[in-house]
Formats: sequence, C-alpha cells, structure tokens
Amino acid sequence: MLSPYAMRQSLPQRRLSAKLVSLDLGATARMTIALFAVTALQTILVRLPRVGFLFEYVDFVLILTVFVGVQPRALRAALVGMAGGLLQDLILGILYGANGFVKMLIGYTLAAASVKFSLDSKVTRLLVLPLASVTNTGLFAFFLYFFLMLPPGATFRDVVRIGMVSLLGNGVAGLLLFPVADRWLGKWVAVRSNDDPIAPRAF
Amino acid sequence: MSGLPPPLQKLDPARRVVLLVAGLLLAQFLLMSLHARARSLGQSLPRTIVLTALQPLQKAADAAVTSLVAVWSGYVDLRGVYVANQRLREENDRLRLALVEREREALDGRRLRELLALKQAAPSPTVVANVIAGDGTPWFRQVTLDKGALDGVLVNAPVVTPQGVVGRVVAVGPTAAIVQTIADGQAGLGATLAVSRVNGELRGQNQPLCRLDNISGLTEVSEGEMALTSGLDGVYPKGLIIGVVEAVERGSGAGLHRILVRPSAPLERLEEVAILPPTVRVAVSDAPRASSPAKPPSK
Repeated sequence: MLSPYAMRQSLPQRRLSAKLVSLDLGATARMTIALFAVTALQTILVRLPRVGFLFEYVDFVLILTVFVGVQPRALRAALVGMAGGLLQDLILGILYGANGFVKMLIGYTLAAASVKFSLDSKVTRLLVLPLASVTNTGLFAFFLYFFLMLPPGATFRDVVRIGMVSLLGNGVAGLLLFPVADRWLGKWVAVRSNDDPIAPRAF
Repeated sequence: MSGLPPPLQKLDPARRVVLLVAGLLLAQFLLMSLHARARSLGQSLPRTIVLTALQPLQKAADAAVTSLVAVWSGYVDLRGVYVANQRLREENDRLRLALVEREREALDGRRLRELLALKQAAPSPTVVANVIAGDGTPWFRQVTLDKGALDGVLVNAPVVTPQGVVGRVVAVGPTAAIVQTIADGQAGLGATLAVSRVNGELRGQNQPLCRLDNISGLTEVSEGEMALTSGLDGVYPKGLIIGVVEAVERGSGAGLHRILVRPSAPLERLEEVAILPPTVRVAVSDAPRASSPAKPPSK
C-alpha cells in the first residue's frame, strides 16, 4: 500500500494553468520591457486628473536605474541608465543625451560604489535614492543651463525647488516600486556570489 | 575577447568597462552638443520610432483612465449636474467660437488682409486629435496627441481648443505628434491686446500663467482684457483667443508693463484639440510688389 505522500505525488500536478500564463523571459527582455513600461507610465500618469502633476516629480527611470545600480554590476547599471535616459530624451526632444548621460553616470557610480559598500538592502537603497534624485535634477539642470536650454526665467531657486520636490516624490515612489521591481526583476538582477562584480558581461 | 584590439586585450575587464562607460558618456555629451546646435534633430528618426512604439500603449492607457474618470464623474459624482454642465459647456464652447468669429471679423477684416496682399495657403482640413500623454517632467509643458503624419499633421501646425490656443506641433511621428503648449518655458508667440491693440510677445513660464512682454508703460491695459494672437510670429493665425489679462504691474513712461495672462484653453486638462493647417510664412521677398507702384524712370 502506498503512503499518503506517495499517493499525493502520483496525482497529476495542477500547475498547467500557471505555466500557460507565465512567460519565460530573460533578464534583457525583462529589463527592456520594464524600461519601456516605466517610460510610458511616466507620460501617462501626469494626465491623471487632480493628482497628475505630482507625477512630474517622480522619475521612474531613475528608480529603475537605482534598483539595478545597487547591485555591483557596473556595466549593466550604466547601460540600463543610459537606455532609460535616452528613451526619456527622445520623448522630451529637448536635449538628446542629457538624461542618458546623467542616469548612466548615476548607475555606474552606484554600482562601482556597491562593489566596496553593500548597498543592496531594502533600507540602503531607499537612502541612496534621494541622493540619486538630487544628483539627477542638479546635473540635468546644469546641462540645460550649459547648452542654453533652460527655460527663460528659470532661476536657481526653481532648480532647488524642483530638486527638493523630486527628492520627496522619488523617495515615496521608490518605497512603493522597489518591492514591485524585486518581484519582477529581482531574480534576474541579483548578483551571484561567483560573479565578477565589474565584469563586462552586461546581463 | 579575441575581437578586441591588442591594447584592449591587455587590460583587465574592469578597466575595459571604465573605458567603455567613459566613451559612452563622451558620446552622449557630443550628442547633446550636436542637438543644441542642430535643432532640426527634434524631428529625428529615433524619436519618430519611439513615439510610434509608445503611442498604442499611451492611447490604451489614456482610454482606460478617461473611461474611469468619465464613469466616476458621470455616474457616481454629481450625476445630474455633470450632464447639465456638459451641455452648458458645449453651448459655451459654441458661443465662444461664434464670439471669436465676430471679433476676428471686426478686428481684422477682409479689407485689411487684401491690403496686405498676403498669399493664402490652400486650406487643409483641420484634424481633431485626443491628448494621450504628457511629457512627465516639471521642466517643460508638452503633450502627445494620437494623430500624426498619416492624418496630415505637420510640424509647426497651430493647435487650438474652442476656448483658445493650446500650442504648436514640434514633432510628428506617423501616428503621434508632440505639441509644445504656450505655457512651456521655451514657448513664445505674438500677441495683441484686443482693446488697446498693442502687440507684445507672450512667453510661457511652466506655470498656469503666461507673461506678456514688450508692452509699453504708456499703454492703457486693464485686467480682464483679452489677448489674441497677432499673427506676427508666422506660426499662429491672427485673431485666435490666447487668454485674458490676469494681472498688470504698471510700468512707468520709460518702463514696460509686467502683464500676466491666463490662457483660456484648459492646458492642464486637455482632452480633445483641433490641429489647424500650418500658417504659411510670407517672406519679404514673396510679398507681391504690385501694390507699390514702380517709379517710372526719371528720364
């Protein structure tokens, strides 16, 4: 006579429906979809009535860059930041390369720092995000100023105001989005112990 | 790694990554420099591809959001008032349009146009489009429309609502177009005050109110006065409603007024807009010379 455990094992497993809907996507595909999704999300949420203007101060691509950047894989973080930033630049059409440059720099710097300091924890990445947000606003404003693209009449005070509000916006959004990113991308982004931290393999 | 040049093969992977990242950063800096010099890059192939790729996603999301908001507004929140409000708004829009027509006829009559003898462009059909996305940053005020080159939308086409001017098309993809609204910090257009008939320059400030520059302190300007497009910018046709003067900080005899104008179009909650055919720029060399009789030779 079979034991209850063996009987249960002999029954057909009911995982078929779950397998039918799960897509076996690799890291690159997931990251590309995520980049397109967050870039589109950014432009859609600002149209929400009454609360839409709040999303002007949330940079989803930056949050994704920080999420990848706290892992010690520099090239991957740099490429994700660059791709996301360039997508934003193409949508905005004001200064191609500005967002790409800034986010690539942030991604690379974070990943290079996380080789020496462990940044990949739920708390540290939330602490790193405001810092990245301020850097993002400051450098982007600098490039607009440098290439004479800053809106006429915009003052240093405006830049500080946008930087501070973005810091808050990105912080709150990061609090909500990091768990989602963990679920969707965490397994693919996490660095294994035998990986070379700054290896040229992007993904 | 055998494909790499010999000097790079000697480097360890970490240094190669640093070199690659530095190269990409430099390339992007050069791209910025190039774009800052050549503004025509705004209508580039990569941008067209991205706009086209994102358009279905944005359109679907906007439709979902609009439906949800409409359901909430129409059936849950103030049902009867909403319907009546909609009817009154439509009537108001119709009356505003009629008012604009009358003002245009009164202010810039056909006789003046004939005197100017400007060549009129062949009238193209006006395209009605939905706003499906914003630009997502606090730095600029742009919106994305769900109509593009396939529908006949052209760069520099003025975009209006029944209430007033929205902005102009700055980039066009096959199925989407980007509009720079008049509230954008880099937007500017020629404006005329309806009563005092002086011309100025309206500039966006990335805020709800726009600034009207270059109005002499000697001109009498009052709050509530209507600002219309002057047509001098070569983009917007003359006589469209821009907005009303919200505040005037009086200038002295030598100083200029500081005037704030509230746009009449609901720029923060745009839904449907009309894209007019682009205004034809008339260069001085194009102007017909028949009106100025040629002097007979002195001899």
